[in-house]
Amino acid sequence: MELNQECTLLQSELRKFAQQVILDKVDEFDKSCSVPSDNVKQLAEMGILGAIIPEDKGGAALDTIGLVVSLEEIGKVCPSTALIVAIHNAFAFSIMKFGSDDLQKKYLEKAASGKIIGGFATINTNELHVEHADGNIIVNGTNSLILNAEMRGPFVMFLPIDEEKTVSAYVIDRDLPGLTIRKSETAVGLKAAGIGIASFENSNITHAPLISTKEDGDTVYNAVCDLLNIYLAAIACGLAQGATDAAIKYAKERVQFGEPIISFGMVREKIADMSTQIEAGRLLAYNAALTRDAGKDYSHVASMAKYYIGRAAIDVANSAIQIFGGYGYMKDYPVERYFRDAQVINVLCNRPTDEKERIAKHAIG
Amino acid sequence: MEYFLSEKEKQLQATAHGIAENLVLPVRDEFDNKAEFPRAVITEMAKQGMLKIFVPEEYGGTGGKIMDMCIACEEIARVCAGIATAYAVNALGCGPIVHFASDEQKRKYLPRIATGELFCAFGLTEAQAGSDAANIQTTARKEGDYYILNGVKQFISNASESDVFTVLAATDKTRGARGISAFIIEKEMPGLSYGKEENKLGIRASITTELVFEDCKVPKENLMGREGMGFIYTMRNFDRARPGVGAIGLGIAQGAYEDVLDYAYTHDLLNNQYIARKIADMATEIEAARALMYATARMIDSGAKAYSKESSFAKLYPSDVAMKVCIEAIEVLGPHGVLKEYYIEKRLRDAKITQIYEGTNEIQRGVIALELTREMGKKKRTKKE
Repeated sequence: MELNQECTLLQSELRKFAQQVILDKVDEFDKSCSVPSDNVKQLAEMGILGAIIPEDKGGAALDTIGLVVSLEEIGKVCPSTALIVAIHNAFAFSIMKFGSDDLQKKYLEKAASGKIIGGFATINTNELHVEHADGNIIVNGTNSLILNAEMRGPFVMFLPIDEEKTVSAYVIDRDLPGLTIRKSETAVGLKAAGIGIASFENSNITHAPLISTKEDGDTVYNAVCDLLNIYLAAIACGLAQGATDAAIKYAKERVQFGEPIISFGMVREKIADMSTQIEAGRLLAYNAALTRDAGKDYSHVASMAKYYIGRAAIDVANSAIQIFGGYGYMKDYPVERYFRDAQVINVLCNRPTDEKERIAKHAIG
Repeated sequence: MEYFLSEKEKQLQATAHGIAENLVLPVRDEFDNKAEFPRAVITEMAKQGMLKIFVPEEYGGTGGKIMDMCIACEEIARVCAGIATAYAVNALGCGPIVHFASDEQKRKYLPRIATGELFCAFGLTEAQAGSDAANIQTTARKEGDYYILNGVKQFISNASESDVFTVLAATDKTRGARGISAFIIEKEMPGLSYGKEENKLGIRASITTELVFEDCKVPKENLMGREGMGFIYTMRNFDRARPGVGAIGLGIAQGAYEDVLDYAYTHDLLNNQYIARKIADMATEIEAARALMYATARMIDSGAKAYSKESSFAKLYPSDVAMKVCIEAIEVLGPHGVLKEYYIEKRLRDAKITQIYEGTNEIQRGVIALELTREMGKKKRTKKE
């Protein structure tokens, strides 16, 4: 697919950044379960953190496709770093699209400059208890999946505050009394993305900023997930490409039976399948981004992109390990990390089966 | 499904199941986290007769049947494939002694392997000899009453934890695969040391280390069988061992399937047909893998002469099923699936190795295709006659 000049420029800039700044540190990020704030700040300077934010709020007002090619380039090298950018933009989007003017003023400019890095909590209402007492709303319990928690910024969270169990979307500031966040290191992949677990102890959210005054929380959640689906698809494309590049490089160098293993049909078939899957996934992701940029309904195409390349990235990374053989199983090579990261991307936001149901619904009409 | 296991087999299955639940389950996370060899667990397994099943009766074992190995490996891997690997490596290591060593060598080692007094491992792979196993560079030079071994064996499971090794080295480099010989190495032999310890994606309870030979002096009576036969012994040992890898894959798949079924039931997901379809497929494929593995094991145990192809089937299919089941199981659990607490991600990390070790699945497909080509050639020739 042909990209416009703005996109190709951005693409080459991010490629350079990923190769020159991040590449050597990725293993360290993975081991320490974090991306240093210096590196995140550099992304702010490149305008990527304010990608979705309008110019009058200090953002770069990039087209969706612009951020998609950027995430793809970062994802090739470090899917965790790409996820941080994606989640931050999703945070800004929820406030931009559904928040009051006051909320926009409070958060967007800081988000665009990278002063705050926003987070996003996946809906996890089972472990949260909300009580109404003397006109106050009190929260207890845990939410086990806060994305970008390690970035120490505010995060969007969904709470069941009325009896009908529908959720409302809040921005939770980190100084909320009773809130503690600990780092979760138990996810198999995307370790550096800084996933956290939030615990609430008698936290009074009565005056916490409510995003969904006009719309219910489900609408906000679904809208954010639609957008995140495009971002996640882009990261998965990058991841799959990164794994494939590594596998091709290895297969050219590795000699067995007197020749480089790249000359064997079973290896070549894998490379053909991997490349085809990536191309298909990329077209789906770009198509979803361009559909959004054209102002059309993009929910179903975003679901298609995420569901398809989410799983394909797992298969591609799996094949990459297989091409590396025993070496692929060792932490000395990057393919086992790609494989672990791909597992997490595939289940973020919604289960793949839920995405399929949304696609089916749309197709059936 | 009913497989009409014998009373003895059922007993073994029950013992292995008990060990898995009582000894392995409580420590599996700890050993995965620390990447440490579960010595106490393997020792206790040996006490309960679990290493005897690799050794024939006349040498203190309980038969050395492939079926028994499969039953035991599946049960342990159902709970932890890392510990199952640490256990099963003993079968791979002692297989060549059981089948190709002299009576004297057998009497010297096998009774002590059966009791767990000696742990054993297998040393073939080298940096430049992975899939191309005949390309080993380790040499064994004969000097008087000794062979002098030099070279580095890579990715050796249990290397630093074992007492006895079957090791392959070239006695005549000019003859390629036909110049490779097998040796029984004891860990105390001078010139043997351990090199790099690998940091792996999974099966972290199974320690993987280099075995380094620097002018290692091996008495000539430790040559196994005849010089130049090592590669053939190796291939025949793999033919017998591959169903065991299949069994580890199957155990992983079975464990993941039980977990996901439980999760789906508890979370009321089974009325969702998207989920129900996945779980039905898992159950079917696992049963197909088990049937294939048992059929292969029975075929080998009943004295079949050639079974390379079937043995490859029994490694290839269950290991592919293991990967598929784990990936699908994670999808069913959603975000929970990728967290350590739910254990499926550990099963997936472990499952990946079953497609790689003891011959990658591409090598298995190659073996199968080669056998099919041979069979076809034979058929065509008979027709002509």
